[in-house]
Amino acid sequence: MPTYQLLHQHQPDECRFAYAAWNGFTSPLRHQPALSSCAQGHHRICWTVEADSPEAALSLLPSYLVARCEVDPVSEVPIP
Amino acid sequence: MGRQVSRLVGRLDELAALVGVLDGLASGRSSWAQVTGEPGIGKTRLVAEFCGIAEQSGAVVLTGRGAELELDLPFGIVIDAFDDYLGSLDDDRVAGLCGRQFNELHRLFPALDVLGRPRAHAGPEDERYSTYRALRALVDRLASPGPLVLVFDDLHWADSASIEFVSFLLGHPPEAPVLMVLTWRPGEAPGLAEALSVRAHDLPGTVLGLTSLPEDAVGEMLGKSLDGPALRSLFRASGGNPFYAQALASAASRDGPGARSGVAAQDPDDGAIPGPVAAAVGHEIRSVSQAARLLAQGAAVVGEPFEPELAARCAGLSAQEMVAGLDELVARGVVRSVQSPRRFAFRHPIVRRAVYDSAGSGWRLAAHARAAAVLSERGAPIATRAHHVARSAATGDLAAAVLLIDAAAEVASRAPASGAAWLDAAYAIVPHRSETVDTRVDLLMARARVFCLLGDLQAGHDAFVEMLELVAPGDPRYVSLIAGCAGVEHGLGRFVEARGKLLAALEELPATQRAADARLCVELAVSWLYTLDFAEAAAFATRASQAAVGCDRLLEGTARALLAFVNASTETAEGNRAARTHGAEAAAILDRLDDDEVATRLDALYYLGWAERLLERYEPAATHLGRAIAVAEAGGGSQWLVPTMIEQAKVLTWTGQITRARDLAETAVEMAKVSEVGLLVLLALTAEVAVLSATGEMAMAIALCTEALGLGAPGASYHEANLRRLLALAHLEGGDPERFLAELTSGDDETVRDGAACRLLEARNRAELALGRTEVAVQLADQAHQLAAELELPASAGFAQRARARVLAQSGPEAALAASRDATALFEGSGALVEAARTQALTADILAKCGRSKEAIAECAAAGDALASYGAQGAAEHARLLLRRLRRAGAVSARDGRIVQGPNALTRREHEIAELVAQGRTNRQIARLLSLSEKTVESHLGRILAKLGVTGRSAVARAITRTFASPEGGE
Repeated sequence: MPTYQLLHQHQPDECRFAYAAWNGFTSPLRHQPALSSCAQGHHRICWTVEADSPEAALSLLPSYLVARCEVDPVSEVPIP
Repeated sequence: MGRQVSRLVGRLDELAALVGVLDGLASGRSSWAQVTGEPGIGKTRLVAEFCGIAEQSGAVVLTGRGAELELDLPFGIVIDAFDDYLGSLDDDRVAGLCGRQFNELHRLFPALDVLGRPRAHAGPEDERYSTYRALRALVDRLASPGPLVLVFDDLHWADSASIEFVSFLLGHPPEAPVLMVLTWRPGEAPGLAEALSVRAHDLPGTVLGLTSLPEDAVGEMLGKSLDGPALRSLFRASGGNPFYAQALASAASRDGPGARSGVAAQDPDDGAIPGPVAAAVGHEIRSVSQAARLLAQGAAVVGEPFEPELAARCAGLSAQEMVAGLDELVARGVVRSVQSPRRFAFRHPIVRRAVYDSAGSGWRLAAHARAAAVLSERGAPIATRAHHVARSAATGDLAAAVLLIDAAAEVASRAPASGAAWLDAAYAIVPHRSETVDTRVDLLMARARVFCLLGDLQAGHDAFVEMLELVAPGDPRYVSLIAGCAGVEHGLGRFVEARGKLLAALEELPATQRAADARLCVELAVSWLYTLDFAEAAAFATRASQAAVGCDRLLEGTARALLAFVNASTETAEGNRAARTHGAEAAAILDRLDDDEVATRLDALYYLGWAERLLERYEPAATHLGRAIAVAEAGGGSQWLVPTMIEQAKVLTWTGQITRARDLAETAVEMAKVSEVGLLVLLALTAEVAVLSATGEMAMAIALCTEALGLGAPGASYHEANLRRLLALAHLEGGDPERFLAELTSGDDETVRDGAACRLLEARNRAELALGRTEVAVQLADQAHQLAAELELPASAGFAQRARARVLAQSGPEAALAASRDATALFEGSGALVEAARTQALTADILAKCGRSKEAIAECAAAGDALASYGAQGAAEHARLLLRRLRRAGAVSARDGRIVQGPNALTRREHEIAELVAQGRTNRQIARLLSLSEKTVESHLGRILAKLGVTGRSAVARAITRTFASPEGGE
């Protein structure tokens, strides 16, 4: 199954909305840690997920995050 | 999905109880849970654990928390619960959730600003009840797709408006199932328990009172670091309170066992934080670095949840100091991240309070001022800024006073307690100098309004008195202030005082100031109405109408409307004639004014509509009252909204719009109860009783009568007399004529009828016939006829004819038939459609007595259909019972019971309409031609179709055409 990187970004004054958006939303990403730069003031959150398609990957996020998210297929590469 | 295993200590039973209440939502009914207990007992911890379980179950969980230091922020706990979530939804979803209440909700929730729409200014229409209804609609829509859990934590620290909303929601739960979880400290909100229990008594729910943990649970909570004697000592000192135990344990681990020496056991029930616990928390704060302590103090000033940057600017810290301080506070557990990574809250409200108190008073003043400045830079809502300005403004700071006044104006109608707090703060800082007179008058006017909204009329009156000391008689504002002060005095029942003020002002007025003269005379007329002195009221209304001619059309129209009402209230022929004249003049003036003009004197439409009801001109009454309601709801002055809704409910009960009448009456009752004005509650309940009597819900009508009569509202004797008559009628409609007569004769005031004189005579006629006293019934019918002839009112004449028809039916049904049909026509002509249909049922009964069974069945079926369509279910059921009886007696039973009668069976009005239908007119055109509503035309058409035995308009045309083509007429 393909792997995708979800990179969500929001404005500083939108931070509270990006976290409130998970309320009532069903997703395996809930109640799991994620890498975020919100505390550092840069307001990006990223996940690496396996999904059948970019749309399926985005369906793991609430619509508020989807509207502000890039999704890229990724794969492991050897670094010389 | 499996549920999370609890890590909670000692509260598993309570947690299971909450989960049980959550599971109960599957029944489709809302429920509630109250979690109570002393500070630190673990209410929030328990509810947080429950919320995690609820979220895992798929529920949307919204949590708002009261804050001790932000009691003045209106709807603070509500905004805390909903705002972030609303901001996270897309535009379409928000629009769907808010529906028609978007503007109302937009004014309340800052997050909705992200939709880019400018925030509309609050106006008088933003009264509390409309805000509560808008919020309830929002909750209903949020709960519709799936379970919704609303948590209001630390409700004892919620602002008044939030508590009123929670109470409202408990009493008016949304249709979709919602679980409301409320936590609070009983010792700090003694009235809250009663308020919540009264409102919630119809909903299933549970109260969980948390008590101290046992020693072993305290030990489990603290881990295995304490030996037996140490644990026992700490347990005694903490009383089993989890927060106290943790605070004392932290102090001991930080400072050594000696820190607990000399500690005495504290009584956890007195509500105060025990000394050792307070000392432990205080020591914790003093032990952090200066940057961390200042950041914490800045955060305590700013409020929770806080952004570190705002707390740092409030404390005067640099960005580097903020980062270092925050890291230390998080590491020490003083604060923690909540909801999102850049928002933090204190470990416990006790900690926040201790940090706040640890700052010096002067430092706090400066910190609040800095917070206000930063929030102003950021464009924060005025209410948020006002909170800090109120705590930092110095005497003489007029800019601060203006901000506080503006903030109060924005919230006063929805949250008057918050508005009053800011106005008090503004009043304290405005210096009493000659150059501040205008500011002080504006301030006092705002205070008067807010106090009246709060129901504190005495405080409102005091504000007016103070204004009148600042404003001289020649000032343009003087007359308005006198009128306003008199209005409050009316509310206090001090009519003599009010009149004295108005008369004194009138005497001082120069003769040239005719508009002011008219204004004062209008207020005097209203004043005399309160004490039912119609002659004095008429005299002043006449003077007002003369003074206003040529200088103020609105006042002239108001005076004419008052004259119409005063004259109609005399219930005499002469009075009715004068009332018709004045009413027509008032309508001619007011109907030409646009809504913005009329909005400033909605009482004009109110009195005109009431007069028209008394004159039995129900359709124009409904039109004028409906306009007043629409204007009031659109922002024209809501003090008249409830009285007008009450009057409109009565009118619509007559015209067959009983469902709408019920909605108005119920809304009026709730709004009146929010206003806490006893007389208004009584009037609203009276209207609801009238509606319930029309729907046939007699038991509920009687119960509400009892409730209303128990209110003991001042100045209510007139209205209580009306209520007793409604109670009596409810007994009659419920089949108890003896009880009706007994209730009617006990304490009945013959001089006051509210337009019900002939109706009561007819009701008595009915009761006497039911008891077999025909001679008495005959006398009553004659009295009704005599009175109706004097009054020259159509519906009254209809009641008189119906009484005669009942009497004649005993001996001469053929003569009774003509009287009954005549009564129907009279009721229809006045627009009293419900009584017209009830009379049709009587006609059916008489037809059966005449042996005309087929016609009887058709008439009865048509009456039943009409009554059902009007919402008069009780009368409709009587008609259905009669229909069954008639059929059993051997009437021809077609499949649907309808028998063709032919055009001869049509009433005069039905003929008119049938002819217009035959001419090809639409219902709208017919309504316009005959000055009826479309709904009325549709009702008539239904009966026409039934009587003619046809199903379409073209068939009506053919039936009518054949009638005129045939020299004999007929079927």
